[in-house]
This record gives sequence, structure tokens and C-alpha cells, in this order.
Amino acid sequence: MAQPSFAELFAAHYHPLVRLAGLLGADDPEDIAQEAFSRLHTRRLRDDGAAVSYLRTIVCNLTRNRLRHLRLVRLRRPDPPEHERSSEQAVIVAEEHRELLAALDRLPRRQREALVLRYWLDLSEREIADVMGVSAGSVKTHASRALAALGKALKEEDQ
Amino acid sequence: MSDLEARLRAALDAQAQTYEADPNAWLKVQRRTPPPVPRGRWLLAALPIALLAVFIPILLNGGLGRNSASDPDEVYKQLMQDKTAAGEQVVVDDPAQGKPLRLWFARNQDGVPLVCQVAQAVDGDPFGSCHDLGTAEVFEGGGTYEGTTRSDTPSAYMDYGLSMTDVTKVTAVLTDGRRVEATLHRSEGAPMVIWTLALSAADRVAKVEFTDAKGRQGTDQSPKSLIHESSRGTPIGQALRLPGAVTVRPYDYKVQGRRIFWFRQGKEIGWINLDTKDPTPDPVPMLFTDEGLIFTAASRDTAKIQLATGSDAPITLEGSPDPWNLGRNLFTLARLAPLDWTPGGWVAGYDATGKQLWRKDFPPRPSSTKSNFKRTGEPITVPGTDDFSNGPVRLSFGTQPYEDGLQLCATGGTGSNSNNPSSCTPVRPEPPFGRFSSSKVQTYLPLPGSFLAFGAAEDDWLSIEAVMEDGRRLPATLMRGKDLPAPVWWVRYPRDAKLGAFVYKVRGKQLEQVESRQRSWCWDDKKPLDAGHVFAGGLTAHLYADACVKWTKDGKEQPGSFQPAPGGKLSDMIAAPELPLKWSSHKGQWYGFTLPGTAKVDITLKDGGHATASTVPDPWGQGVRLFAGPVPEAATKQGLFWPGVRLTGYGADGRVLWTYEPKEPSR
Repeated sequence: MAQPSFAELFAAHYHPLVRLAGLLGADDPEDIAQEAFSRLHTRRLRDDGAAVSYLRTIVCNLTRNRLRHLRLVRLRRPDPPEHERSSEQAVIVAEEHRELLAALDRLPRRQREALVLRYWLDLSEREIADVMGVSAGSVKTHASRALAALGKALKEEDQ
Repeated sequence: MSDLEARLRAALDAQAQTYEADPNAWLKVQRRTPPPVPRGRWLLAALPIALLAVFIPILLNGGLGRNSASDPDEVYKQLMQDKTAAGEQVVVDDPAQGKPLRLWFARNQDGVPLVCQVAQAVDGDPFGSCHDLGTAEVFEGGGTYEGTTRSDTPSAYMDYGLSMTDVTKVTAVLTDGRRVEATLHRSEGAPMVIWTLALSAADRVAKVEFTDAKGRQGTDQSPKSLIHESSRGTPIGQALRLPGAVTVRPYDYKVQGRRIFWFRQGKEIGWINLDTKDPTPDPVPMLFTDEGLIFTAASRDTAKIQLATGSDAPITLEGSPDPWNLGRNLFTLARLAPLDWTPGGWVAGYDATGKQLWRKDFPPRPSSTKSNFKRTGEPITVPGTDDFSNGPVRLSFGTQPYEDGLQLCATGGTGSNSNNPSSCTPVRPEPPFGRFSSSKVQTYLPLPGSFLAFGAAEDDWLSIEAVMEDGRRLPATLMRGKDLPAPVWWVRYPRDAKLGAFVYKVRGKQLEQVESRQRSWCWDDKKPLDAGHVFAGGLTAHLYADACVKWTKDGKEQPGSFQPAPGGKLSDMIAAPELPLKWSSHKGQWYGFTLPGTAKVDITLKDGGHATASTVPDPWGQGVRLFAGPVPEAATKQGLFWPGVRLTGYGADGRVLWTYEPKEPSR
């Protein structure tokens, strides 16, 4: 079968990549997803089928870099006001999720990446390792530490 | 899976739903990547070239290369070989060259629309090119910048581009703030509208705005889109003018190093990196074949490049040393059409003695390449699609690499054949995609062409319709069968009709489910149809075109816009007890609309916070009652949308008409 065209890849994967960037903590997930596609556009990949994996990797890397940058910026100025939710759809971010998402937000970025890729994208350890650019063993370590940290944080919240 | 893992999965799914995609995202990606270059790069990198290339054999001469026709009519004739005109030709005087510039639309043998031009440099032969509207057609509600005749010579010039047919005004905003209206050239049978803009030597366009008859504005375009990538660099030498109105110029970039750019009609055609390494090291320099221009830069030892496609005679490009002492030989050949690499081909470099230095072979890319799609079960032939290119359309369930789960894929239509699906959609969409997913195939012929949208339904879906932007509803065929993994639906609609939404009815549900396919006209619309209804607290509800309603405060739009499927009313969006109201909130205020007969709406939070808002009939005949009011402090601080929130509607007599407790959507 013919490999998907750039436009087809965009149509199929843009929104999921926006969501991936958002779940990884990006302050402007759309910007990151667009940049990922832009970079894909100017590169020749060894394997055309690797495009989706490549896009996910770029989203992870860009988000990581952006978060690092934001941390530096915030040292010098106060946080911007929190983003306002714009419709009743936000009801889906229910209270029961808030604690967990807040705890996720506090995890080291590698641990957060491992969890998002595992539990939201349902990637295998091997695939996660490819996206994160680490070994499969590292993925296992990041994920188990992250789950332990989440469990601990939620218990503390309950007390 | 542990409880924590299950909770994490649910939390991530819920959080993911809150990230929306900008409907102009495709345009924004296009802006980040110069349109001409990707066609060339992608051509060699990933795309089946056959989809893009239209080969016209023409006579070539040597040197830097150009087509041999010195008569614009001859260039036109050569370009139109095996094409048909679509609409009238636009001929405008190019003040920069003092020669006419011809612009028109054409269709190739498959009916694919193209935009063509023939221009003539003051000191050179006429040149021309055609390219498909693949990029232009995604600029819904707007248009494109196609070129400019502005050059380094200070003289009056002309900018030109395309707009969608529903655009009625194209306005250029100049850098000094003046607004100049472009001339629109509209003609019967043309797939888009051509705009031209005559400018004096000192004028510089900051952006071009596109407005439709309803005053709705599409996405602006900047002339920078023509030179997107080079405008980020610093020129490091004078531009070199070549035949065929081609200019070449080197630029320096802080990170990527030096690049050589090729331009034509003010538009970047492509570039070569001189300092950065390609991710896949290759002895063969990247070779571009965009809009008929073949160009590259190779090291000085490569004096000549030859290439051939299929069984055609080799084409020779003679190198000339770059005038900027970059150690390269430049190769440029202007043709009237891109090369067709479908039958395969080769490229080879030779030194001055004729010794071959390198060679790269490109295998044939036959249209019936082996399919990776693994079909399960027998394909469904879609009745009434025999007239599609490569028809009839067939739908098959199956799997394919890189996609999880069962897919429903279509063969037939432009861009696919009986073996290879051109389009697929998941049978059970994963959480990020929601419950509904669809795909489509298209045919350009017979005119005006058609789309066939299709997808997999769920067992409890009763019917599906495609709703056009004008409100017309086209019922989809819904096929069920014990041999099918899922019910299948399809609906055909003309290419020149705009799809607004898919709607489907689900057994046991009061409300029609709406999957919008419209642009975000509602959110973007800045022109309310009336003065609006003012509520205590300063909120005002406004109605916009197509039953779009939004609230403002102190002239500023509040989050949340509401719009039914095309042709519908706001009352279509609510029903008791399923969803008796729609609402949004912002900074201590909540606002929305509810069912007729509801005089008052109460909200009670889980922790006891409480607020009430009175309702008023909507003044627009939308069949709803509007409300707005303050919300409790807890909601102001933490957001309105908490689990356990309970909403109650009361009649004028104080009787409870309905109650509503939002639930997290189940999967």
C-alpha cells in the first residue's frame, strides 16, 4: 500500500499529537504539534513508516525543551493566570481526576512521559523507548517509579 | 491492571479531551514550511510521485536550460497538451516586465484542477508552469499567494493569487496601513478565483484578507508565505538571474549554516543545504523537480548531471560555478512540467572529462505496488460509484501497519486503485478520536466531481446524514450484516458542495449527535446580526450568522460558542431530560440557554455552593430561553465544572421542570 501522504498523516495524527503535547505539560500544545509536522516535512526519513514515531519523539523533545525554558522564565516572573476552561465539556476533567493529574504534573518529566505514552497512547515498552530515546529497561524504571510516586501522592492527599 | 493504572488511564483520556485542534492548523503548518519546497522534497522523500507529476515532453536546449518556445502562445499550447481549460484565461499587463501575464485553471486527464501561468521576463523567453491546487484547496474560506512580479529593479509590479469561490473581496493591507482591493477574476467552470493586485514600486503588502459575502473573514495570507524560509536567513551575495525568470541566491542561517535558494516569480522554489548533513547521507545531491524546474548544487568536480525517467531520452544539466565562491556548481533547468518518476529513472554526475562520478537509480513506482493492507472478509461494492476514477468504490475491513485495530478502507477514486486503499478509518475509534470517525475518497470526474464519505457505525445507530453548509441533508446508506464486523455507512456528495456536519441518531437518545466538519466560523465571526440581549451583570448574548450564539462582556467575547448543525436551530441542541441546557462560564459568570418554559435555572455544587439565573426568551426565534448570572465563589475559584453539580430548571410557577447532572462520558 502507498505510504500516507503528508496531508494524510496530518489529518490522522495532528489532533492526537496536540493532545500528547498537552498531556506532557506543554503550555502551547498546538505550537508543538505544528512544529513537529514542520520538522517532519523538511526531513527525509530512513523509513517512511517511521513518520508517526518520529512525530511523537519530536513532540516529546520539544515539550521537554519548552518546559525547561519555562522553568527558567518563571524564575524571573510570576506564573501567568490559569487557562480558563471554555465549555461544559470540561466537566470531563472530573474532581476524581484532578488530584491524579496534579500529581502527574509534579512528576519528573521522563516519568511523566513514560506514563503518558504507556497509559494514554498504549505504546509498548519498546515503542516508548524509541520515542523517548532511552532503553526499554529505562522505560520500565521510569514507569514503575512514576506509578509508585503517584500512588504515594494520592495516599498523602487522602490523609 | 491495577486500580491506579485504570484511574490514570481514565484521567489521561479525560484530560486529553480538553485539548482542541485549531481548524487552521493545517494552514499554520503550511506557513512553517514553504509550500513549493515540500512538494519537491516530499516528492523524492515519501510520496508516490505519480500523484503529483504530469509529464509533458518538450524540446530542451543546453546550458542552464530552458524550453525552446519563444512565443507565449506556444508555451501555452505545450502546457495545455492533454489538459482542458477550466474557466476563462486571465491576461493582465505586468507593469514590471511590460509584458502580459496569463493565469488560468486547467484540468488534467483525471479532472484534477491545476493553476497555470505563462509570463515573460523583459529580457527573456516566456516561461510557464502548472501545478495542482492540492495546497490551495485546503485554505477554506481564504486563498493563497501565488506570486509576485516584483524584482530588484524598482518598478511597478503585480501580486497575484487564488481564493475560494465563496470569497467576494480580497483586500491587501499595505505596510503603511493603506488598504487596497484586489481585482477578482471569476469565471464559469473555474475551481477557484484568481486575484491580481497592481502595486507601485514603493508599495509593500503586509497581508491579504479574504472576505465572503456574509462578511466572514478567512485566514490572512502574507507575501512572506512566498519566501517563508529564505526570509529567516541573511542573504550573503547578490541574486543570480537565470533564464526562465529563475533567480538563485545564497543565504546564511545561524543554526543550519549556508543554503542556496532558487526563486521564480518571487516565490521560493527550493533550496540546497551547504553545511548541514542530511539525515540519510547520500552521495547524490538532492535534486528538486518542482513546477518543472530541475535544480541542484553539487561539488565542483561534478560538471554535468544527466537524468532520465522511464524510457525517455536523458536530460542533461550543465553546471556553472557559483559566483559566490561557495565551491559549488549550480545546475538549473526550466521545463514546463515536473518529471514523472513513476516508471523509475536514474541520476548521474560526471566530471569535466565525462567520467561518471556517481549515479543513483530510482526503482519504478508502479501504481499497483504491493499492498500492506490485510483485508478480512469480502469487499463491499458501493452502488452508484461506477463513474468514480478507478471505480467502483469498494470498502473493506482489514488491518494495516502502524494502525492499531480494525480499519475500514476504501479503494477506488483518484489516488488509489483496486488493490491499494487510498483512505481508511478506524472501526472502533480510540479515545482521542471520540465515537465517530469517517474518511472519504474522491473523484474529480465527472464534473463537478464527488466525495464518498464512509465509516463504521455502531449497532445502536439508527441513521446517519451528511449535512451540507446550506442545510441540505443527504441520508447515508447504512449497511448491516452478520458477516460484517460493524455496520458500514457511506454517503456521496458533490465536490462543490460544502460539508457542514455529519449527524446520526442513536437508539434511546433524544438528541441527534452532531459531528461538525465546519470551519470555526462561529467562533471567528465578529459581526453579530443584532445589538444582542443585555443581562444584569453586563453580559450580552449575540446571534451571529447560521444560528451561532456567543456572549460578550465589556465588548470582549466570553469563552464558549454554540451552534447547531447547518440549517438547524439552537433548540435542536437541547432536550429534557437528556441535555436540558447548554452553558459556559467565565470569571464568576455563567451563561447559556435552556428549554422553553424554563423560567429559572439553579446550579448546586457538591460542596453546597449555589446560584440561580432567570431566563428570557431568545429574541431570534431559536426556540430557547437565554440565561446569564453570577456563580458561587467556589465555582469562580475552582471552575464551574465539578462532579456532583446538579442543575434544575423551574417553570414560572416554581414547579421543577427538569434536573440534570452531567456525567463523564462513558466509553
